[in-house]
Amino acid sequence: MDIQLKRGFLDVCVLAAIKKGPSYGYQIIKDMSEYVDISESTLYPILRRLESAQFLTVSSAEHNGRLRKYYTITKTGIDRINTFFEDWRELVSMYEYVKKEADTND
Amino acid sequence: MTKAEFLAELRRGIIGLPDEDINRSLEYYSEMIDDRIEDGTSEEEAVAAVGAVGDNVAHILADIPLSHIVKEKIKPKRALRAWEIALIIVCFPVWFTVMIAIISSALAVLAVLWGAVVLIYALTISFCALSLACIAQTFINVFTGYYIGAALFFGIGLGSAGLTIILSILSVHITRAVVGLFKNILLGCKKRFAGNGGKND
Repeated sequence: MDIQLKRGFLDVCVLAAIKKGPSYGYQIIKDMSEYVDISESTLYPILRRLESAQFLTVSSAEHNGRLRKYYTITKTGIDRINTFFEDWRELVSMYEYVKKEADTND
Repeated sequence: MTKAEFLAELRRGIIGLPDEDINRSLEYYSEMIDDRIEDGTSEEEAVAAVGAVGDNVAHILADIPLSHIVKEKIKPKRALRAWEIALIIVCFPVWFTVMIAIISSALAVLAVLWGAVVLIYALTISFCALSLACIAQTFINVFTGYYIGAALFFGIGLGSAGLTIILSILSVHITRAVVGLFKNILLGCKKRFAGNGGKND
């Protein structure tokens, strides 16, 4: 898959992983692992990017005597997911056109 | 590798970044390793699962602009003394010339690389135009009854079309190679500036 396209999809996947409530890095990876193969090193720049774009906020909370960072989705982040659905409908429409044309030529 | 060793090596790889970025990265990877350990894996396995230090450094640097890293690198770590400021002013003709020379060389390398890409595309377009012109000339010669000329232009047109196909494939490969090389050079520069030196642990 095109790197830029995958990057955009992964951003939305991470937002989806924290939509139901605040989550932490390792939990996000575990939640996504069933559908997407993502490593710690891949997640790190995504989280930073999403934070810079104000799609999520970061807070620290104590856990077993150490600090753990929790990521919470913002209103802008939820809007990003909704935009993704609109983009997706357009993509599916393009896919169906390409598929139809390809099948016709066969 | 233990968690402490991993974090120390990671720190060495990004030591040139602003303190905030270094601490943030170390906290992130430390938390990830701790969470894996808490999940039941051993320390060594947790560190191995997080991946090689070099790959993690590359991911950390990927989204940070080179200008940001260079700016941090050349920023004085303490207030300059009077004699240091005087030395910078006196040596201005030397360091400024060297800096201009380095920037010019870098730009020249970039110009050569992208020049090669532009050249191959220009060649592809030229041969494509030549093949189309020759095919058109072939038809004109056939209609005017000049069959030897028609055969000649058809041959040149066919050869040009073949070259166009070969050059198109080459163009794609060369563009990919140049983009890949450019990315590697950029990452290499980032690693060079963000890595060891400039700061003490």
